[in-house]
Amino acid sequence: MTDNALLLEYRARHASILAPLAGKLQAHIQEALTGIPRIDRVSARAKSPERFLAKALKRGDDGALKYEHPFEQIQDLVGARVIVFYRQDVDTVSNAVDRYFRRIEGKDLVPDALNQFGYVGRHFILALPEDVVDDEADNSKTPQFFELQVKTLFQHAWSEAEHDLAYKPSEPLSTLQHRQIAFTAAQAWGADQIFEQLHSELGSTQ
Amino acid sequence: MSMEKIYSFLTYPRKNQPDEAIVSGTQIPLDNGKLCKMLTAIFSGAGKDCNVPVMFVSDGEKQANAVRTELLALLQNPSVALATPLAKRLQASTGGASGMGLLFICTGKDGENDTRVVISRFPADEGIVAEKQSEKLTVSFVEQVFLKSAYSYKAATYLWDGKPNQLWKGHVVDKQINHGSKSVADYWIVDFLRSEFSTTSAQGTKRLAKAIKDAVQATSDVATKTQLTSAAQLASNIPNKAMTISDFCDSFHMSEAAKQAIIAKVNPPRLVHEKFRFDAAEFSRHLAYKQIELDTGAVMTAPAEKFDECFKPDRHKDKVIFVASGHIVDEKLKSSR
Repeated sequence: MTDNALLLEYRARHASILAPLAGKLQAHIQEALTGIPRIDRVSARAKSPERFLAKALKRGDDGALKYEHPFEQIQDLVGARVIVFYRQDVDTVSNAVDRYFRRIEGKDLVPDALNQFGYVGRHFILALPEDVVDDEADNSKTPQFFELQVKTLFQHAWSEAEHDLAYKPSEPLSTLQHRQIAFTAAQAWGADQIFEQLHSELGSTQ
Repeated sequence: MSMEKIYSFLTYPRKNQPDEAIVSGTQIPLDNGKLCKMLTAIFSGAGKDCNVPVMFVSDGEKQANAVRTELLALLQNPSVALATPLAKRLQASTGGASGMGLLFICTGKDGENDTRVVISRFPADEGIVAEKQSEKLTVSFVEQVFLKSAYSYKAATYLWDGKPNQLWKGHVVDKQINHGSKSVADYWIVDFLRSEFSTTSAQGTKRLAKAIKDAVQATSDVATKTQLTSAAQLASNIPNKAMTISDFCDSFHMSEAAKQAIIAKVNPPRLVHEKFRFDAAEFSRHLAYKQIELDTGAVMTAPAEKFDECFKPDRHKDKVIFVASGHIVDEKLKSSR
């Protein structure tokens, strides 16, 4: 399949399958998490055609395409996020996720080295619940899995800004800019630590 | 659909036995004999017979499951050697209650692009063979007969399209899914296949509770409402049993109207037949209270499972007098019911 054919096929799926699926999934996750306090927001989206193409055309170190079958291998064609207030709430939401969804992957994303600061969040690859797939759906084109990210408000704010900046530079970041981004990550991490502690100390265990 | 390879293994109960026993296996040649005909029927019918959706359990952070890995290896290069790990796994999962069995692993084409694998287990039994030859009847005892038992037959089937990241989901049939012994109930899906129902207990139970709640709100027929609320009250006594929403309705012998009221609220409709393990605590979380309103304007509310204890009904023709007794602990004025 040529790049253009891949993009056209994805655009068609995005409009007819993935975008409506994301809407249903958002409502489904919201319902599953009903009653859990301090959830700031639940959102779900279908990956944009441009982002899909960029990911589908990625190559490995050997120069070969990373995804031979991008529709099956890229597991975040539909992605969802749950943003919570405190770090404790990430665990509460994660427990509920395990109760209502089947997962094939769940991991905490943390910086590689102990002296580094960067993105922190819990990511799951979950089976798409049958409840959001219509009886008439074309199963061959409906993704089997979706990605769910659970993170705090501070991590969300940091990762959104960092993601935005990452798409802007036409040349590599300078040493100072790298340090500035790491500094903001450290501040987000620190804020989460303090709020976690305050939340525990002030006696709200819910 | 065409079956291409058949492997068979004799497996013994070796659960909790550390030494790895030898498994005897063979490839059965395809011919027009009765065995192949029977296995062809099982292979062709597996898509329909295996009606419980299951999913492999992932091992921790990585997207990996040992059974799935073994199955993929077999599908990529079918051979007795690559079918043997599955037979050994079955043997290591088989307890004394399940006993000896004959395992069949059949692979073949399903449609243009898919490969189907069917794994089925025939438990061993004892039997008597009677043969009539002219005027003479010969009766003999047979120690090892392998039967497609109506009470303990187990099978699993998976479709593979050859693309990566697939084969996480399959379908099974397990006649002992609700066996009183947990080790027998978990033997096929949990212990051998390292899988779970595709629908979690909480999700399936929530779906059922929501359908009942919506059905009660949607129906105007008092008799139907009564059936639905009574079933919801009694549901707290249901054990941790595998069921479908349809099974739930049947187990309470609901009228067709009550059953249809529930079914109409299941979306998408196919999920009426999706298996899940009932979770009484989850059910109560969604249907915690029962409420009755009288034509006088009186409204009575109590925890669903205790409603009949809280309000004792005394029927007088078409009227009911409810009696409630206790200490007043709170009073409220509300803008709505």
